[in-house]
Amino acid sequence: MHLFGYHRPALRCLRVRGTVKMGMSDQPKLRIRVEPERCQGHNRCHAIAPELFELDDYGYSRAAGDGAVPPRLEDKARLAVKNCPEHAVHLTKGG
Amino acid sequence: MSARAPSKDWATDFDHTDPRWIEDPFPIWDELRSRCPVAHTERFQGAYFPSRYADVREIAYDTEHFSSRRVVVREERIEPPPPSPPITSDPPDHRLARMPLLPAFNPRAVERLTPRTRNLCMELIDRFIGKGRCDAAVDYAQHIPTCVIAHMLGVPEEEGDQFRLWIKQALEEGIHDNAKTLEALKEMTAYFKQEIAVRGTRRGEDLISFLLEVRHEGKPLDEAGLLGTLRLLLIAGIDTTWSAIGASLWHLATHPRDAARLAAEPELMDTAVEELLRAYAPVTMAREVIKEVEIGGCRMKPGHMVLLSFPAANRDPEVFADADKVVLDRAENRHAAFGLGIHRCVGSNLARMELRVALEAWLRRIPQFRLEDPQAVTWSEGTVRGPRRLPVQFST
Repeated sequence: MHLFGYHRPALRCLRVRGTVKMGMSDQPKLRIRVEPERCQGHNRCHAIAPELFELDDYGYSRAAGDGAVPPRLEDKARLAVKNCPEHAVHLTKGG
Repeated sequence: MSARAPSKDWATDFDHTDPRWIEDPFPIWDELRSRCPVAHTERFQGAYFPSRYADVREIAYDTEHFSSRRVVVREERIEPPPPSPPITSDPPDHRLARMPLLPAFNPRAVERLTPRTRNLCMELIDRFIGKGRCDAAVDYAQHIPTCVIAHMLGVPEEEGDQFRLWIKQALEEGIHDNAKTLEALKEMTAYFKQEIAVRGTRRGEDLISFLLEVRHEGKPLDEAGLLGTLRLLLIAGIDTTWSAIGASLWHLATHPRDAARLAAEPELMDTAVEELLRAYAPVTMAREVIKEVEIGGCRMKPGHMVLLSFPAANRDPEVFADADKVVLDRAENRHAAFGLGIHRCVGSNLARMELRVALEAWLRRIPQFRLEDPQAVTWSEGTVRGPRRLPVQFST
């Protein structure tokens, strides 16, 4: 869309269904990312997964810390992606 | 409202103030989605109605071909359009008008208003619970956002009737009569000029004082812009959330299984609130076409208006499974009730809090209720949709 000057990187928005290798369950497999150019401050992601996102004073969201998603929060992370009206939240592979 | 010719064909002669559209717009939007999908009318000096989510989204993001300088589709254009920044602002001015407002409406600021809002809801319920009946729109829903925004602005809550009258004049009756709109805007401007004067150099904790303190590159907001913003906060903060609360209560009154489930499973509330916002999104915005463009196969001509229906987008089956059903535990819900793109409703966190608290308080005290008389329910006209008469009965 011209407003943002670039297209949504749909390929990077991985849909990973929860098969985590045994013995590795504490290692983050997924990383959350919020595109600042797309976030409009709807606050859906933070409401769903406050552990994974932080808001600035203006209400815009960014990934908490380095964005690594602990395995126990993967379902919440996926829900955050799928409830962002602006398609600004992405889940990428790799801890 | 004077008698109007009924719409002959929704696709080529739509009228969003037609009584049939006001009463039950959903089948009309379904028909348009399968037929057009962008409807047009020569009424309102020319306007389009995109019915699909994809087209609404594209327009909301496109500030090159569409301007926000007019956000209400009226019988005749008001010249020049009255500014209410930031909702009527386009880039690049938009950002400057919007940013100062955001901290006052962020989730932390809104959270501080929650206990007060809950007390207010309980007090309102105390007034009618003994009677076994009430008008859920008049006795309950309409007071909640009015009191909250009056508190935020630092103006008397007792003037709520006056605020609601201005809104009705500007957004309902005023659609067909610009003089009414202009009169309401003039009165609101005078009201806020007085509020600004009262604050003089002695500022309080309220939003008006806060906006008087805002500086950009050392300069305060210009007076016309500030007055426009204050009018906007009052208008946008009241009948929108009143409508969302009322429509949600209407749904629960007419769907007792949903009411029982929500009363029994309070942990479902956040998800349910999003679903009720999707299904009964109250606010339809508008844009003015400023450059010719094709949307959904329809060539849109400069000077015509676009009714930007987030409520219709939210009912698009291409995006939402069972779009016409309320699914209280719908887990994936990218609804557009608060708009999309740069004009995302500044008050969305506040509206969500008010809706959630209003429903929680109601269901705790009145878990079972039904419409007293379905024929007595009336819906508002035009830009913001919600019940204005909603008589309900209950035993407690």
